[in-house]
Amino acid sequence: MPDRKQFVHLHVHTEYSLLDGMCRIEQLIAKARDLGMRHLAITDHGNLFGVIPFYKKAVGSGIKPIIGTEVYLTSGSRFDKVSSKTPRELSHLILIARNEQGYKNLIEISTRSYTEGFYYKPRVDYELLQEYGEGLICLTSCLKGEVPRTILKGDMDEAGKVLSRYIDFFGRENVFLELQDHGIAEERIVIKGLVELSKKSGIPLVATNDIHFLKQDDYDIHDTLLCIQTGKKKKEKDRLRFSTDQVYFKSAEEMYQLFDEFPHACENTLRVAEMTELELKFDELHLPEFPVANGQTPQLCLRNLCEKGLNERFGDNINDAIKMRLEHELNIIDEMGFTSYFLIVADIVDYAKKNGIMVGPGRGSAAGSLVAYVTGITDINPIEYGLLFERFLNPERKGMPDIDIDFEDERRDEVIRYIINKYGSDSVAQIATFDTLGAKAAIRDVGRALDIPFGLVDRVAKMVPSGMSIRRAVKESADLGEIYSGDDELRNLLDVASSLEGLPRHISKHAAGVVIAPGKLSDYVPLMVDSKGEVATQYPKEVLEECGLLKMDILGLTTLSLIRLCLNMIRESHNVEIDISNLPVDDEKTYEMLSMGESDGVFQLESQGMKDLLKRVVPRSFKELVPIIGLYRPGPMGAGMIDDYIDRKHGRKKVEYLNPVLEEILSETYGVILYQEQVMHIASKVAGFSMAEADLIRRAMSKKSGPEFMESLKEDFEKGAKAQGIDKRDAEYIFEKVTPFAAYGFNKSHTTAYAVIAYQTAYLKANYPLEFMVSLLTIKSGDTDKVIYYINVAKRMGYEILQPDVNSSFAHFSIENGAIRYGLTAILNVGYSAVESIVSAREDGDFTGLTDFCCRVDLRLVNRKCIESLIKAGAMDCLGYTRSALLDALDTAIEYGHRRSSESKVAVASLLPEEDMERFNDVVREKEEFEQGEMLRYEKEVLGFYFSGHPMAQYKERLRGIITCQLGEIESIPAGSNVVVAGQIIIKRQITDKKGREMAFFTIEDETGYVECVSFASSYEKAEFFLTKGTVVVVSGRLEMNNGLKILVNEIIPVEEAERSMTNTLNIRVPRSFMESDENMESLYQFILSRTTTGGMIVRLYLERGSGDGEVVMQLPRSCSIIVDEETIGGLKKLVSGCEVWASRERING
Amino acid sequence: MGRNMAVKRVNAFVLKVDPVRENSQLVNIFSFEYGRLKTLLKAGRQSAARRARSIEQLSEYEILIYFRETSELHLISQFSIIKDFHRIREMRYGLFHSIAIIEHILKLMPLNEPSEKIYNLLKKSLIAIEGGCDARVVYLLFRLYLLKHLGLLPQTEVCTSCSRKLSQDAYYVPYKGGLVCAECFNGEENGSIFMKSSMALVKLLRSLSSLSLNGGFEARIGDELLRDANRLLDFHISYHLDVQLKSTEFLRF
Repeated sequence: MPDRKQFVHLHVHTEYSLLDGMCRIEQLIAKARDLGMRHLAITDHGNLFGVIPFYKKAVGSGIKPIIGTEVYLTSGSRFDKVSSKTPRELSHLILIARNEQGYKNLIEISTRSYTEGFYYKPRVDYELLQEYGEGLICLTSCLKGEVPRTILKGDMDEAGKVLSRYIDFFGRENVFLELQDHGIAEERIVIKGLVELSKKSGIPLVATNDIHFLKQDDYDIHDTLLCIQTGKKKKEKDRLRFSTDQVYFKSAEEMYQLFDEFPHACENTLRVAEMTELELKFDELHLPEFPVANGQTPQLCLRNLCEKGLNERFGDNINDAIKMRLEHELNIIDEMGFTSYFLIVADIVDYAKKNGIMVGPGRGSAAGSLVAYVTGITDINPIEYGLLFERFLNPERKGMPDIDIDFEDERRDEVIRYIINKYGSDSVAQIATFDTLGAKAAIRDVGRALDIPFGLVDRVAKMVPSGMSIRRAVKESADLGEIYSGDDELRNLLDVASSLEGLPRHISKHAAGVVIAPGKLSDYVPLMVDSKGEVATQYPKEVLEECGLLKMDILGLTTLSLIRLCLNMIRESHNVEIDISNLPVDDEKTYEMLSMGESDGVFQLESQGMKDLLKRVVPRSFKELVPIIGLYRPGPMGAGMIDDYIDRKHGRKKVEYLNPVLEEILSETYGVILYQEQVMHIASKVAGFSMAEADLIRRAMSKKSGPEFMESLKEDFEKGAKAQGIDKRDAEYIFEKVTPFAAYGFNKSHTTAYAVIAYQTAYLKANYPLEFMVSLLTIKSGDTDKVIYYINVAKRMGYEILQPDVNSSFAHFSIENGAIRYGLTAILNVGYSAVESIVSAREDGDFTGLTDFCCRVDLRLVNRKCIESLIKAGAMDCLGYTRSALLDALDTAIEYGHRRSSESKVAVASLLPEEDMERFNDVVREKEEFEQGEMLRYEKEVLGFYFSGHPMAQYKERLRGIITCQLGEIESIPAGSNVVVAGQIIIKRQITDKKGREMAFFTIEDETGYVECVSFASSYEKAEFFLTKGTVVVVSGRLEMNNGLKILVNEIIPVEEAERSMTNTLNIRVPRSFMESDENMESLYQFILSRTTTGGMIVRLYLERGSGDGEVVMQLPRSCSIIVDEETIGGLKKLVSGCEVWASRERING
Repeated sequence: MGRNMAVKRVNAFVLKVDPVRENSQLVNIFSFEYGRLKTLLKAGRQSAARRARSIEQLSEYEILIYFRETSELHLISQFSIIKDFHRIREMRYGLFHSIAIIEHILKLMPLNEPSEKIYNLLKKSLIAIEGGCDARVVYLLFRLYLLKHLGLLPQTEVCTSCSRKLSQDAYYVPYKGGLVCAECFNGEENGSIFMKSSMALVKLLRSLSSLSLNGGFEARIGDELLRDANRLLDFHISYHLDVQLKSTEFLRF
């Protein structure tokens, strides 16, 4: 009697069967364990994405993992991408790795199915199966399997032939006929056929369930997932759907019961499981060898490189300490087997530098390595800044070192191409990353599938605070909770979305990761191709690390492109060549600028918080700049480290040390522990630990390990301290005090490296502000918000911004007589090729008219939409016509341009002289310019902001009675004052408060300045729906000085409503000359009476006394209150020529 | 209710309403029982805006007031309308002159000094304007009566210098407190302002001062004479009471 409880699921789709499988690996393993199963397979559709996390989780749970996949099999060639056009013609086949060879073959098959066979789906063919069938077990799969399909066609002979083919590919003992019964009628026919085949061929049967979800109840949710995958609505009839709810994780009992006629088919699952013997190894490193010259070893090569670099970097200043440090590092690198790794990285950086690609000075803890410095990988001298090698590479801690390198983003691809060329395309690939279904996306996707109106769904989605799960949001958000309990449809929406939240949705390429294998990469990991045809791994970067492969982050850093551009511009404008790596580090101008908080555009220092910090710290040297980069983070801020540091620096607080022995370590930071390196130094100095041990201790402290572990750590610390002659009490005190800082302290190596870039950008800004701002605007030209922001910064710096101009502008922002000329590519619909055509045509002389323009540029590149945008942006104002006239004439001018173009061809063909050609008259007719509002709207449409004016200008008169000050005046108002201000929202950042409610930080701007506003949940709740960038709002609140001047918002009102809701009085200043006519006054009065309304605004008439003797005011009774709208304002202005009309908020003690 | 508060019901005209803080109103009233008072109409939590909107300048109300002994600012508890004079608001002249009348009370009547006469004068004046009487005449008459009540009526019977009865054109010299005959008048005395007054104007002022209110409101007076009479009173009030009446500026046209 077999153990009826033992059954092995061999056909399982996890969450990595993207948007099809719904079994989360963790829950799947837990389910198997709960049901007492000792084995479990993973067989996702066409990929191996999830096998490593599955393997690890299963092993960790005491379950034997069975690694497989359900491949898509084409009956033709996998290279043939025409004949089997639709996935429907593909059949399924389950392949399971029996052993290590099988796993390798599985990887190869999966890789090739992507790299060679991808056509709608990753496809395999017979050739692949034949070539890589060794070590694989094959199951004939579901109704979509080749054998079942043939049986359904009634062709048993052919089914037998297919089976024979499989036997041929995989070996008789490795083939199983798969019985499935999900209650589908066809399955009964297939079962009959399979049994018959089994009898005939002797191939055993195996029972499976096509698992897509865990519980039977999940059917409906899974159906929704299918709708999301296929973009259909659930109510649609003609869509992909499962005809059964039986594809869930059944217990052994259920499976035995289901296949009660074929108990041996169930027993065979165990047989298959026992056939597999696969143990994946994760503790081996697979590092590529760096190709070295004959007779050299990598070690020698690296040593030579270091010695050469040492001389270049230090010259005559090489001392024993430096030599010892280098020796120490080289020994550790060699011992740990990373010599080639350093050579590879140094070679890549060398390539970039030799080819003029900007390379960052360093990143992460690699800046702590002297070897990295002398080989040119980093530009930070670790000795000068007290950076520790062990923070980077610790012999006590196994693991790959992580050297991330920044390159200028525009040329990052060149670096990747170099790596591929150098190590071979077989060995190099980019890295996969999975996008998961986030809370808001899940709600929106499910809402779409359930056909709930988008507006409603969107509103619900927005109620989920960012970063919070739906389940938690329902619990913590009162609004969402109310919806959940009060509306059945939306409750269902939230439930379903919550079930799908977090599932992988899509696989894409990691932005920076590259993996290099010592040989063929597909010997280690499966590969795939993305939509651009670029090869990437099927495993994400964490899994690659676990597999012991070398991964590098080749990061693109925009700031480096900015520096490159700025240096070029300085060369052109000033004929000065700046060596950015060797800037003087004591430039007063730079520190002066930073200390004033003028750090817009400066790397890492341009946030408002950073600006405030700069003003408080007042850095005067590079060493004082370094901590600023790291200080502005929640940890140090919360721990009061910032205040302590600043107060001590400025002498407001006494500099004290936990123990005199720490003075040497902490003096540079005035006794405050700021850096992780300082914690390591303390552990070394006080307890006598080696730096490697000290790094382990730092890690343990920062991870807040369990109390028992901390206690043992403390004992070690005290023991070590005792040996150093420090008594137990002191050691205990130091340990207790240092521990929290281990968590808050920051990596000095990384911050120093980034401080270098910050200093470089600050130096350029302080010394070449115009070139810097032009470069900055050019780099940010794709980001309208940033362009607006930096244009305002440039204006504040005193630079004039010249409008885009087809006769003067270039593709990018440029310098023109000390002013900044707008770049044409920053205009919507204007691309580089169009600008090239314009600039090239302009070489023959300025454009003189619209027709001239259309005749001279290449209209295929500079199309109608492009010219329309140029006109709307004001780039054609130079032609001497109004924008409205130019737009009117555009079509005719283009037509002329086309005719001219074709006639020139005829003319050339017939060799007619150019001057004989009829000259085209300009077709533009005089027309009045658009109204200011319309012109600004057009500018906003194509430039992303208002260029020739500011929308606030139109509100100026109407707002004067409402606002208490303009934004430019706000700095002179004492903190604590209540203010009412108005401005356009230029930046908005929504966050979640401690209670999970949404609140926002936003910045408003008027023509005179800007201010940051903080809207807490209570005020934000009422304003959220209109609080978007570009909206003009009136904000009332209290001015507060906390990390800069801010308004703590009391109320936010759209400007259009402000007159109604924030004002109560309409003021009309009537010219004396008007009042002298009784008729006039009567008509004015009658007009006022005609506009009276209940709850309207009180009218105040202002009258000049004459002879400069001031004026008098008459307030009409409330019953004469009038409605204030465009009609009233317009009517008044029309009736009383020269009158002033404004609304105000009249309050006493307000 | 606080310890130092007493509740009183009064009849009063609302002279001025100013918003104060959120939704509350500072209401200047002229009451029959207590004269001019400053009161505060606090907005209730729910009907704040509605309540605040309903009290209206120029109208007469019955008001329940919490009198505070320690403050000049009393609290309105309830109010109900007696007469709203809504028709006045339909007539520019009527409205502008009514506002000017109200301003006179506001600026010339001291706080907490009840005056049945002036209360009735005010009421009758507004009724007359609403009833269609020439607002300019009503206004003039109101001012004369008010000045009479305050004891500040300009001297129009005799020359303020020689005390002889005036029988010819004269001059109004503010610092003299009335008219000066042509013989006594010697130009711009002491640099002071003056105004030539025709005998017709002198007679008008005399007669109006002695007329009963009801009869006076019905009087028909020429435009020029009316303007001169009001101008003379503007000078007078401005000089003797040191008050600038803003609304009168609007009545000059």
